[in-house]
Amino acid sequence: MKKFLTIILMLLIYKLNAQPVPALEENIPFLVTFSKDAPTSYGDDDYVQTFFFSIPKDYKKPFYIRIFDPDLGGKHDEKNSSAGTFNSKTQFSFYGGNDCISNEDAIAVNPKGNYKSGNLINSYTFGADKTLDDTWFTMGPFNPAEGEYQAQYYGNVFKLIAEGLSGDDGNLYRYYLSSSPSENIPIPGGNAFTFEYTFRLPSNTKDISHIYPFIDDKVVSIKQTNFDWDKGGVIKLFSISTYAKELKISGENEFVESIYYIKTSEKGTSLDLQFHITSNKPLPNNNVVFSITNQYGKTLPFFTVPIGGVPKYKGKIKIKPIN
Amino acid sequence: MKIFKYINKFIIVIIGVMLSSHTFSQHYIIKKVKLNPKKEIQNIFGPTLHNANLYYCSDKKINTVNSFENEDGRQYSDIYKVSINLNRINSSYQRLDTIVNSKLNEGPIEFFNNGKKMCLSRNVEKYNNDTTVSNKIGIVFFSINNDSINFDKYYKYNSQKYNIAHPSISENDSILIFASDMPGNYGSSDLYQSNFINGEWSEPVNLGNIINTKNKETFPFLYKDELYFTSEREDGMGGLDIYKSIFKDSAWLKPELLPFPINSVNDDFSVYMQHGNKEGYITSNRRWAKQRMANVIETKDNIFYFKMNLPEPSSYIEVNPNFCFEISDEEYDNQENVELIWDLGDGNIKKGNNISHCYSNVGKYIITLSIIDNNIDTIVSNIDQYNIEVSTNNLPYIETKIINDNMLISANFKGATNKYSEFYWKIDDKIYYDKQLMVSASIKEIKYITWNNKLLKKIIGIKKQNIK
Repeated sequence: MKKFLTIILMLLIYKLNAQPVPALEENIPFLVTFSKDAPTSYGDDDYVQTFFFSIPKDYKKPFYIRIFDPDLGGKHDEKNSSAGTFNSKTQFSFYGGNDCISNEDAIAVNPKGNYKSGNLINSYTFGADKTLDDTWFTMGPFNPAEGEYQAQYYGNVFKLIAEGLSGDDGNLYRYYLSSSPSENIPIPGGNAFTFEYTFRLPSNTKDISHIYPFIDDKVVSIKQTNFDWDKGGVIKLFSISTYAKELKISGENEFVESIYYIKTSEKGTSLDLQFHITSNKPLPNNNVVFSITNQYGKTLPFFTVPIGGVPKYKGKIKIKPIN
Repeated sequence: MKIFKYINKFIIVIIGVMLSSHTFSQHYIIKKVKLNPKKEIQNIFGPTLHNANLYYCSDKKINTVNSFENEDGRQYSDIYKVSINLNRINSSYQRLDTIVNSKLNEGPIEFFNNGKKMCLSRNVEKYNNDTTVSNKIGIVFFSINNDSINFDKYYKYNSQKYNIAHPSISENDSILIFASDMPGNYGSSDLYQSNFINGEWSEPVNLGNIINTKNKETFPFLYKDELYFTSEREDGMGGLDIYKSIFKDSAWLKPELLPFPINSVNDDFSVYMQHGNKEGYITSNRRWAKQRMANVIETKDNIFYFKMNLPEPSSYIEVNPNFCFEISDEEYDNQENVELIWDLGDGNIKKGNNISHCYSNVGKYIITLSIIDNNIDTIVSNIDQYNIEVSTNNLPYIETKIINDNMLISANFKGATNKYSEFYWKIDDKIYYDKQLMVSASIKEIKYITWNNKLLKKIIGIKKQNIK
């Protein structure tokens, strides 16, 4: 007999101080970046993952970017080398200053052109390093004023690019936007977002991952693109006025895309894209790449803390008298 | 005549001595039926309408040489008929022949079985020539074949010990109600019911103390589910008065006194209703207009025709309440393994994206939408709510039901806050008085006029248009 659970209204979390990346609500175990010699069928189409961090304008104190398990090897990372050992290196580069996000290449789906725009503030390259396995590495301190102020992203914006420089292994890692160099202490009002999400899916059946694209009031339709979903389940779109709209899903090493027309009520809200693992067997090492563009082909951001909160389907009861 | 000294009175007519101070209400027209153009001394009572003939009883002296009187010195009553249209007499009176009229009293006549049968009450002959008992009143049945009237039988429960009189038979010929002074009464005369079962009238049953009182109840008249009768009970206008009770939910409701001028301070009794209490004939010993002008105090019984002066409302209101609704979530697209679940606020729960529901009564309801998502074994509750009000604006409304090319119409008082005692239908300028009507389904407009007899100013006109 099925056991039903009642979903309890989730609190609006826009103002919550939670800057783990991925966020807890997203239920994504790790971000993933493969090195450039890995086949794309491993689940990374371009070997680059760009995340942006937004520091509220009135936050003046130093902040830190902490990376969990930045090395390649050990407990979490995905070893693909035929040599039997990890052979890869990943570079984490932190940018601020003008053009950091305002450059069109910086928010494009594919890392081409001047996607490393802005001022490079700091950069670290990691290979196999037991001292950094399954633990946190801290970048910083950084001065919030060194970011590029963008009101549409709610503060001073910095950019962190993870790039698989060499080898064929996959680096699995997480970030934390912290006010402390040694602990994960959130920055009030801080947020993180990306325009192309490459992440590891949970391996357990029935698990659901979420990502939250924000739909501004100019959006008429969106085109979702997903890569290498391996048809391990279904992707469903939820919003305040859409319940469980299934999106087209990709197979192994495959790009697929589909169009969804935005309802008026969805403008100015976040969508909840849910990745439902429906396989009866656990699917280990399943990575997926996901992006959304609007009707002009412009990418839309996925916020780890969804703008306006996690959307809850409201429905719209219609009553028609029967004469 | 001593030979009749033991014969009971058939009809006790109490001459009203109270002067009527009422003037006739404009709500009714009421006129004395001119059944006595020669101004003979007689009581005229017990009207019955059948085939455009008015049948009535009269105690007029029929033979100056050889007439019979009862122990009160009154002539015995016989049954007469005249051709009549409304209250206009079209022929001279005719005394029914001796098959019907005996030497003794004959009472009001009743036709039934589509006019193929009739019955009346009369003094039944003494049993075994026993001179110690009087001739009691009983019911006699006749059959009618091409205007030929033949004796059929006596009512099985006639008795030499008590009277059974004033039969009235229901429209479907299944119920007989009469007055009797049989033992076990609440008063001097009660109303009884006998049912026609398997070709026999059943043993009579007292109608109970809602209808019967310690006073006299008599002259019943059945009209559909309404029982009109005469009573001397204490809440009347004076003397005998006419009451109406409605049979509802297997019981007779508390009788209502019919309004003035159907009732008066004098004796008003023995009704024949054509359209409930909107049109018919009554018997009364009230003074009519000329008598009042002549200051006549003592009067005989006479038959009066009355008709309600039907009121028109100042305006018509369209009341089209909806108790039934289609309910859906207009945002929702069907998804596999997902069900919408609706709490309809009246104790009912239904599943489906597009459901229909009929509320059984007026009221305010909160419809709550939830979702059962079987893909993730989850109920997402209270997604949306809708406040719905099922209302008739406190008015009755016209209910229609299409049956082939016809339409059954009736008034529904569900949700009406005021009480409405009177009504009529107006369809194509014709008036109807039935509670339910079968009309052509092509009718474009129906009007229903209703009011409370005690609140004549609140006359409601309800209209239903473009019906089909």
